[in-house]
Amino acid sequence: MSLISQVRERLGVEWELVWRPPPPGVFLLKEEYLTKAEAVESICARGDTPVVYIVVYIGDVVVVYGRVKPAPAKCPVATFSKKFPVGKAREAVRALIDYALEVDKIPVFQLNPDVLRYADLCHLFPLVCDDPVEVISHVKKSREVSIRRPKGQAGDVFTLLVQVLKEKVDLDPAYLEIVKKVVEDPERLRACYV
Amino acid sequence: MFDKNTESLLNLLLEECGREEFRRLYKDICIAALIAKSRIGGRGVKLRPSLLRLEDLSDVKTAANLLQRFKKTIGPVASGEALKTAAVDYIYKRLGGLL
Repeated sequence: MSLISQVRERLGVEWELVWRPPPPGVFLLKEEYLTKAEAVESICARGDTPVVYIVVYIGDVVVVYGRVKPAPAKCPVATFSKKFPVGKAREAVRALIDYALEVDKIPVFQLNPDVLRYADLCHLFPLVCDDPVEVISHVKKSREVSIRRPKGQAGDVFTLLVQVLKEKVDLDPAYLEIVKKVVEDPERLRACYV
Repeated sequence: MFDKNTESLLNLLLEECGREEFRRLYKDICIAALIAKSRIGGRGVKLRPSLLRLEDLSDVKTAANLLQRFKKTIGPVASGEALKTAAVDYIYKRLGGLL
């Protein structure tokens, strides 16, 4: 399946495709993570792989998702676009973010915080929007709160254990298998620590 | 190679990692920050703990676990840039889980 068919299949038929560069707008990714157009032109010369952009129009605002700065002159450029009403900014930007994170596996730190603020999506990506000093402060505070809890109460230990295990599983779903093994045979834990 | 905000977060993390208590609690985050700020470069970097020249055995073990995780996404041999990106991605996910 060609790249264009794959993008179309993922986005849906209501997205319009035009073979030209995207209009001027705000990029979903921070500028530092956009590849220079000249860098991909040599790759384009070797084949006919197009450079793809996905654009949402939200009233007068244009948000562009693409991984290359516009626009490589020597490459075929395909732009998918869709218009959204002003009140649907969150849904529009979310469509771009979902594509970037799920299809292209873009790390969240590359998202442009200005776009997240505009679409009111900072609550989903607090680390991207917050000041780094605040982030570190929150991390330290969250630990202090758990340490300050009275010791010797099994309930607190369990709460902490659940929190730690949840963090591990969030990071690596495969860790769930370890947890299952502990559930199946908790006595093995004793052998590890006693 | 990273944006200003991310660089700032990495610098703050490394500063915190200089404190024994923070480093003990978040050793994986500290090692990941070390990878992200390292001078590892080039296209064919083999992912192994010796890249970081760590002395403490516990640090080496943590680095080995992290690199094992990164291998799943970027492969056993990757560019320095891909390795650093994977390290920052890990830090964001890990911190996200703590907030």
